[in-house]
Amino acid sequence: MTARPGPASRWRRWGGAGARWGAAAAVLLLPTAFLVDASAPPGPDPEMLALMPLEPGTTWRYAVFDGGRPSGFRDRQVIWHGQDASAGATRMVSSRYTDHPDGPGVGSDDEYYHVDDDQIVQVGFRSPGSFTELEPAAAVLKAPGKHPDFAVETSFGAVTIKSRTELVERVDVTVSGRTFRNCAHYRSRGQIIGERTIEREYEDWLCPGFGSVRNIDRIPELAQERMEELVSFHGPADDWTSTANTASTPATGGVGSSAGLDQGRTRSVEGTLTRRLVWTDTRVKVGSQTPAGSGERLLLTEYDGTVSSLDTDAGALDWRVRLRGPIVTAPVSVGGLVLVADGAKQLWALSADTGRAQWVRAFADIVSAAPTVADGVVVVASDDGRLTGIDVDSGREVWTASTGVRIHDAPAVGAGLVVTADPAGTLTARTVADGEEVWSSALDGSLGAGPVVHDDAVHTADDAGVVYSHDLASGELRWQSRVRHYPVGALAVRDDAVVTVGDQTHLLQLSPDTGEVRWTRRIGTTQAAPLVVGDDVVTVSRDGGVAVHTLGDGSPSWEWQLPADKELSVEADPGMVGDALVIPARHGGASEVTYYALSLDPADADRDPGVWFAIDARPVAALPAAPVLMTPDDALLVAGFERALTRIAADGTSTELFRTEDYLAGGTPAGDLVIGQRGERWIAVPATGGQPRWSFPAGPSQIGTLPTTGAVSGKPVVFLPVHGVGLAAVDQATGEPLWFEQLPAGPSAMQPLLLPGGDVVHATTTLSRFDRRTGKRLWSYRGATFATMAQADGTVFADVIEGEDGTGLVALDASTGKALWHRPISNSQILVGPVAAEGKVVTVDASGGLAVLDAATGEELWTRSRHTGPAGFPVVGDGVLYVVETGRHEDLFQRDHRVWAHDLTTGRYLGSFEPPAPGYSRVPSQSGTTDGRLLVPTTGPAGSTVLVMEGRR
Amino acid sequence: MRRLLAPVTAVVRPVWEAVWAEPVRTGRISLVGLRPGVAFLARVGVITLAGLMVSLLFSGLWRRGDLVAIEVEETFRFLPVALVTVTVVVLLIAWLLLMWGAMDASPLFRVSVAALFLIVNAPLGVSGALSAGDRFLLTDGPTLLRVAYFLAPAAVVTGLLVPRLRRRRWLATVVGIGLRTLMAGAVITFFVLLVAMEVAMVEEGFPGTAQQLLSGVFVQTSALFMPLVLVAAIGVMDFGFAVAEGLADGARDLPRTILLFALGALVAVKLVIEVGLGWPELSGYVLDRPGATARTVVSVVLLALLVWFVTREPTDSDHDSARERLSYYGSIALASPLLVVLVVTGTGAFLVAQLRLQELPWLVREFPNDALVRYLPPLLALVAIIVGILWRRRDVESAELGDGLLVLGAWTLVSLGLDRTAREPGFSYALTDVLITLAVAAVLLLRWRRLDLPRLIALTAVVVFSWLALTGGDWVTWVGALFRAPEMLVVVFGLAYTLVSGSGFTAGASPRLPREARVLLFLGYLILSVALLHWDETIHADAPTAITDVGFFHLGVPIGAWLIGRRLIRGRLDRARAA
Repeated sequence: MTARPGPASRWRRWGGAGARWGAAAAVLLLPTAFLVDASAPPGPDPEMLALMPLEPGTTWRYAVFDGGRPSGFRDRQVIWHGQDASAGATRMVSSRYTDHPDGPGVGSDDEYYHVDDDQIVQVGFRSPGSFTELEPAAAVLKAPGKHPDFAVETSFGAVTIKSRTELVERVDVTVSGRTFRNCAHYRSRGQIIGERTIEREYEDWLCPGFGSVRNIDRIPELAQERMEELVSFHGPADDWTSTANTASTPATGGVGSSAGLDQGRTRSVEGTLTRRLVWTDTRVKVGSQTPAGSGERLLLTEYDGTVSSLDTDAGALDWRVRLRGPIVTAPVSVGGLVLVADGAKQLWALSADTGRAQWVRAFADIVSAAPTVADGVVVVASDDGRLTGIDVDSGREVWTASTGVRIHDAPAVGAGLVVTADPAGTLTARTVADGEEVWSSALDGSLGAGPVVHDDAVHTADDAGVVYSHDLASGELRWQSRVRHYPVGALAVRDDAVVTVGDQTHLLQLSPDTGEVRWTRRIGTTQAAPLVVGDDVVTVSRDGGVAVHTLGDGSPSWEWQLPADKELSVEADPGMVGDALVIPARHGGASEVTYYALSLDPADADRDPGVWFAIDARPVAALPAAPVLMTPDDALLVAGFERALTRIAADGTSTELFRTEDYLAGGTPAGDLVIGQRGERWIAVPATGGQPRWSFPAGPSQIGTLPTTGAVSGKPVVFLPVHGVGLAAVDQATGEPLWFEQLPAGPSAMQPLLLPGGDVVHATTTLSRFDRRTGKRLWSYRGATFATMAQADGTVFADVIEGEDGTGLVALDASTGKALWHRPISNSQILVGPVAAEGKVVTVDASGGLAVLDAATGEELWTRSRHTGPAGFPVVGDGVLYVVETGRHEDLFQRDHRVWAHDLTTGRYLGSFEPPAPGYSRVPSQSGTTDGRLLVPTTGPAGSTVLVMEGRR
Repeated sequence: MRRLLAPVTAVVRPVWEAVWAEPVRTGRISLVGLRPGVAFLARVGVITLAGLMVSLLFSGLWRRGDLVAIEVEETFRFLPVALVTVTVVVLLIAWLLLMWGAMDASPLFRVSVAALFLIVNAPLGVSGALSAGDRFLLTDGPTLLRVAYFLAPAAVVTGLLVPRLRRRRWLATVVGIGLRTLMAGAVITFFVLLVAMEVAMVEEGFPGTAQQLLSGVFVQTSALFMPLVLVAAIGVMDFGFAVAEGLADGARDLPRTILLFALGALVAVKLVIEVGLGWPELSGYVLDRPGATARTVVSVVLLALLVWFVTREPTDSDHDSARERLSYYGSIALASPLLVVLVVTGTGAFLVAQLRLQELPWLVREFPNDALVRYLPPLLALVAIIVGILWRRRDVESAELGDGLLVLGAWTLVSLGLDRTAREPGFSYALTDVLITLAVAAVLLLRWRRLDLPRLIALTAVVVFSWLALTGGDWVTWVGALFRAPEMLVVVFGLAYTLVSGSGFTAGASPRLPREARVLLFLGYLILSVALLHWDETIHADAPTAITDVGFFHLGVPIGAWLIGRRLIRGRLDRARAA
């Protein structure tokens, strides 16, 4: 017999146990708490950040007053942010004036800011066409608690700015009918020192969460007083629009195509799919999202947070904004708005025209299903298991409801109801207007596909291979049909058919009335949803095979392989843009995605097809400092940034030809030699490397200057510009001079132009034609050029400065030197001259203006406007014009560097390609080959690469 | 009142005993009698595990704060920023327990755990190798991290030499303590350094990498979690079995007539629900899936015959021990291809990271992963059949396990063989339950006069068991939903139930695996697995339903059939006869 322990003994035992467990808990929890606290990331001064919020996407609209008079509005938006370590806190803020005080009409500029721990500095600004760096970077705001006053001195070009800023007071400010609390009133006084010194005073009221709500810029000497007052703000901190905002706001209206093609997610569209490729668009690091369309606009959200609108009719990137990434859903276009859910739990409504935010709404968790729009209400399913209805005009919450679990699949709408399906297979219908639950029903298994709303039915499939049709109004089960192959991914529904893909390998058509399986066809393995296009069913296999079956009986109509020079992987659903079906296809294991647009209009069958790019990426040792050239045997001549001319054979073998201490413009292939400038001499070195065969005086090294090869009496010769002295013709093999013509000293940053008969045109202060045998000047035209020239059909085209007919593009009769026509150009891109081919002349200016003219008359055939200037020379091949936009070279990670392909005759957009990153240090860097290929330097993880790009149709 | 409740109590008490009291009594982890240091570590482990499970219930709260994106198998997931450090601490605890436990175990366990540490943490072992900046943590941290990474497993393996010092006990003790201190210090340094280097990197303006590295660890080691998921899948069968047994025990004292009517009513209700109300579904399945229907019917009949064959002899051995072993052996065998692949690819990742290789070693690249996944499970099933046949001839306890292995091996071999065919005919649990219920109904109709009480009890237990088990746990979800419990409650309950009722083997001891080692290794493994589950749940990764389904079909069904034959029918009849 054992005695029961007494109370004291029990307490002792419990106490001992408590102490032991308590000690274990303390040992676990205290260090954990310390580590969690210590690992909280430090950040910039929060008060400073609140006074100048620079969260991506944040948009301000100011009413502008010039001398007390209204002067339109200024829209300001944080459109870009850096992603690398050094530029992690860099923000690009873009401003656009509706009526710029400095001049009539719109105006725009961009500013770069860097956020440090206790100050925000401006590192530079970009006005159209060029970037200007501030040296040193200028503080625009410092942590008010630590630095209420601060001084700035910075310079750009010949201008110096000095100022002293003081925090005057913390005060409540009423602007546009709203009182902002605890604003910091700053006053800056300083000087702008240029050709003369101007006094300037600047006052700014910075309010927590909003930034500047009012600012006044005074220059007494010019009697200038400009004031801006905030009239709307859309950012993470608040979403506000005052009644004073009288600027036009995008009208809401029809809903564009999105995930599932429409808001019922029917994946059904009218038309006839053709094999005609309308255009392609290749981007890097975008993920493979389903694109959305609004008219002819391609709307894309990308993993890195980028949202862009590409006008696929004109071929222009309308706007691009980089929000917090990653974005994991397709955008939705509704009227003049584009709805985008970012990676920071926010839904943005961006203007479809400008990308500026019109409203923003925050959620408790990520939105990972595409929003749905109907009857003026945006229905958003967030990952915290809530469904929210938002007024599409104002962004205000109309209703909210709990779904219990997170919704991954886009809700579908029809007849005033929104239907959601959770992963467990619960279907719920709510009214779009107020979110009231109308009915709920459960599938037998977990959700496999759907929901799709079409007419009066909701279609879904579960993971056990059962397809369901519920009555939309009542939720009653109309039919369920077990199919042999498990539907995965999606359903496509039309009046007379329900189509699905089973087991990724079988296409099935079911009756929408009974669920009876009408036919089954085996198809290539696919991960993308099937689409009903007119009377056909379209599937895209994983490797890019497009298969079309007749909807009626499932008989195969035709098959076609998406063109590519690499293995394709199609994982995302196609989208619709205009009259084209857009298929996203990843390039094998690479991060590139090409969007292939196939026409749904049979009339397009007669049009020239779009262009896709076959790319041969060739690694180069160093960043090219001049346009890369290609030799007849397909080798590349690369003038590297380290001032070595290197020949890279087609098999990748690299041979350094020579090295110089001066600027290296490149080399000209001449038979088995390559001619380039070393020091102040032209040297001819064997193409395979070795000692120079001959040399010739060249004068000081000059950017863009290269020799030209030709022939005299069947004997190869080289025409050598000798800077500041003249032009020489020498024997190609020996370097023996044939003739030398002295020219007046002047700029000669160019390459002599070889005419069909063998004569050459060269320019210093005049453009002159030289006889190939004697060097005798046959004619001259007054005017200098800093760019390459072109010739075609007996006409010479040159971009001339202060010529006989003024500054601009001139067409000269090659026989007489007489001007045939002239087109003024105010901001020529240095070194990049016109290109002539197929009866047209192409010119592109420094700010990105592209014009195609009739070569005979100078008549303008079509024009395009780019955001930035050219990266090199336009290239024409097979009726296609290729132009490379330089992008913003001040930012290695920007995404505006882009190759464009247009129909040379009509300007129609045919294709585009975004190189991974700019691979140049100077413009021009990109060049072309005689057979129409492009040579585009780029930079990637593996280092510098030259992309040999061939546009194919 | 007590009298009125007596019949209810008589039925409910055995259910309570079978479902909870007895399993907890025999299956919980006990810390009594462990060395103080081990008990302390185990307490830390239990608190960590409990904290993780509570956190699992409220994982949504984590996501209220800032989220950071991580790329997981080409899709993006969003991870709460605050979770990174907490997960590192949890990993620290898990590895401390595993390594400490391994130092008490046999050389094989020591080397295995040490190798696993290197393989699993290979992505972390080279993290933050930045020479940028002049901060000590950035310049010398990577070297220190690497030292700790190798030192911890080295200390575990070096401990093998301690027994050689048995002639100098004091030296052996000092060396043993020293090695444990070294190991613990290295593990703590390794994980704390990860956090410190991450903080330093972020402070220097570099983007943080810890979240992506941790994600890499979890993706790479997700196979480790598979055995636990498989055991949990079988747990549904176990729980149903416990309920059925409890009910059967409670019905022992009921009059035969009442039980006869109760069974008849139960069968009728079940048939009305499954066949009557579920007719469109059931008939649709039978008509649309003739192959699957035929496979289901043939499988059930053959399985029943096999179970009858192996359980026709009476036995009085320990079924619980055999059932527990079957669950664990089967789960490990089924997960073995992925575990082997984990070891191979992990070794490859280790070599690439440590030797700075440009590509995976040849052996890893050419390793026949697909063939292993395809052929190893059937091969192991064949081995299970052979071992089962051999063991049936040995002692009573081995014979019991042999019976189970035979059933498990035969079922898995055939079903895996069918899965490897192009047609993959499918299998219906609902149809299986209907067939079992119809069979019971047929017996009831044909032999209701001659069915004695033990047989009626056995049949009742079979009907209840098949109903509970073959719904695959849906009823747990349904009951949970009634109380508006979070979806995770079911999972957490399953884990907690496994912890308190399925840990009986930690009370045992053997020379190769002493009790101290068992407790710490089991807790460490559970923490590692739950940390993975917690991570997946918090980042909203896809639930491992496919693994659960595989476990339930390949392991749960044959073990359930064997339990019906051995425990619910043969065992009960034998006991009744003996009584």
